[in-house]
Amino acid sequence: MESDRLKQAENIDEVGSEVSSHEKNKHVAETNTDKVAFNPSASGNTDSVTEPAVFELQNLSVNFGRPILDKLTANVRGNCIGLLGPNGAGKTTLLNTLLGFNRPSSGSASIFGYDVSSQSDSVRHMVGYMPERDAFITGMTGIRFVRLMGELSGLSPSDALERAHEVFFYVGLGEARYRKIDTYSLGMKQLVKLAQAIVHGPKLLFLDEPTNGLDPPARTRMLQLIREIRDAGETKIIMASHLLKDVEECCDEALVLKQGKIAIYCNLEEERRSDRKFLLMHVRGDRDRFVSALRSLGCDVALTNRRRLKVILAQQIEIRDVYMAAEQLQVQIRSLDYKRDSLEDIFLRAMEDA
Amino acid sequence: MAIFQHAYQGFHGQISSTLRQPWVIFRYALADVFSSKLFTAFFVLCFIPPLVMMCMIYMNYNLEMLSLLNLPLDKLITVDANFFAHWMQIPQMWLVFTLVMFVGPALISPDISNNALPLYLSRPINKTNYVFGKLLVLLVLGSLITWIPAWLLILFHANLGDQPWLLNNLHIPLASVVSSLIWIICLSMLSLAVSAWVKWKALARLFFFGFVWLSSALGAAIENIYGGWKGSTVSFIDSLDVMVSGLYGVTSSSSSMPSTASYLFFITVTVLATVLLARKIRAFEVNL
Repeated sequence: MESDRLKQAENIDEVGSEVSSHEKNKHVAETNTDKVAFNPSASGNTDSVTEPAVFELQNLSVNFGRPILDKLTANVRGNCIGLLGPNGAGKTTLLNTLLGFNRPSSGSASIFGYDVSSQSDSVRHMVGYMPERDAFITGMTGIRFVRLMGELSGLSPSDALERAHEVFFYVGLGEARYRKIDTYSLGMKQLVKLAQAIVHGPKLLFLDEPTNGLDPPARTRMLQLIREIRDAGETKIIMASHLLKDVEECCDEALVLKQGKIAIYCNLEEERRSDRKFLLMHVRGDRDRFVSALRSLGCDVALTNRRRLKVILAQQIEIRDVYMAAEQLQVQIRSLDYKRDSLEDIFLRAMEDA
Repeated sequence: MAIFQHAYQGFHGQISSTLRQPWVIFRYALADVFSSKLFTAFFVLCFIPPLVMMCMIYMNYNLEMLSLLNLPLDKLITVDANFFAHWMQIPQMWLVFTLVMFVGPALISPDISNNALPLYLSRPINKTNYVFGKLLVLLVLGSLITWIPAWLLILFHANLGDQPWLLNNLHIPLASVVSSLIWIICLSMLSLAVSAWVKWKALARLFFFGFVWLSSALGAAIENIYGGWKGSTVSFIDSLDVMVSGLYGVTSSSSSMPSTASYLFFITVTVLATVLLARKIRAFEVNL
């Protein structure tokens, strides 16, 4: 963890930019694709940089009489990617396009390097999908339904049956697996939807509003399952949600959409890391010399306006050192605050900026 | 991911070819169809007419039994193309109609009304495979009560009678297969289309029934008003009779319409149903 942070700091120094590291990882849609691509694990793991992107969008547009997605370009990597945006932003349309349900009007989209239009068979072998709305086959028992979905994904009947039992126990519905799905509660139906989505062990799991309609314990359980799947490391997850907290709890990347465009794309993992020593200061006096002094201490400084500074402290630096530097330079620190840059802040800023 | 471990693991086993997927759909749909006792009883009853006909053929060649039952030889039926066309084929075709009306509307409408299509279509299965898997149910069940028993009867008759009979009448088994398949596919596609557009099963059955019989009633009305065979071009009843008669090489009892017109009618209905079906089989409805 420490070495990761140092590496981040080194990278920031190399770039020589005035923006802080977490800002560096927020990418506005209009930026070049190459710049958008980055390693989501954010721990200096260079292997994952060479992995194909989880999904890649090249000027992707989708029109249904009116533009729904407008020339999206992104190269997204990560273990769990959150798709955020207000209603009508295009989250579900993007999800459906990646699943091959919608045909792009122009541009292209690919999953793990496979084009979603021309190589849809390959894509569908790799994905699992948990839709937002209830989606079942009536009259079937839970186990038979999940087994059918397993067989449709290419598993042999015996493998599908075995996996169906396993995933039922995994999601916590083992005792209810011989009941008809029609008799399940809403929370159980959500879990069955998750079970059918993972029965074939997909490489990429699409979750569309997975906590919709769940009570707090069920929601906690669902998020825990999602985190476990993510941490198992065999499945990447794309999770569309309007609940920022859900995304914040599960995802390491967030792609925020607004009116069919990418408003922002950020690495939440790095956001979390940078939170602890993130200072927001109002200063009066010789600001430039103060900034130079802080940088000479190894801090990363961003100038947000004439008097406001964002400072990420270096490992060995304490707040006391900042005060001492200010005292030496006769700079007044009018306010100093630990500011937590939450996903909500990022989201709201993206909504204002875009 | 063993049950006792309760930890997530991916699947590392063998993945089968996508060609198997329609078979999976067929297998599950067939099991659902036979979960109805009413249908199972009906399906068993569908084999009674062929069994009766087999007895009739057998009696034709069993003089001892004929004399025992005291049946006059001159009143025996002649087993020929006409026998197979009008005694075997056409009645069985209407049993297929009943079967398709019972099974067809229940094949797709539950998937649509329960939003199950995204679950199918997000897997390595496309629209064609999905429809083919459903169609296969009707195709297999329909075949089992039409051309397969017809073939058995033909072989039975050929075995009992003179050996050259089959060689001289090769068009009869061919006509049986072709007419059965045309009828089954046309009705199946129509029922699947109705099933896709009408979400409620009972209503879909009513629509299917009404479509077939109202078209025939309309055909009869046109014929009464204008005369000739133009009305038969929209009638399922007349078109079926003409097609079967044409293929078996016997005279149609219901219409003087040429066989080509009946083929055109069935092709048109099938194509229209396929177009309607293709418009409805999609993961999501897009509201413009």
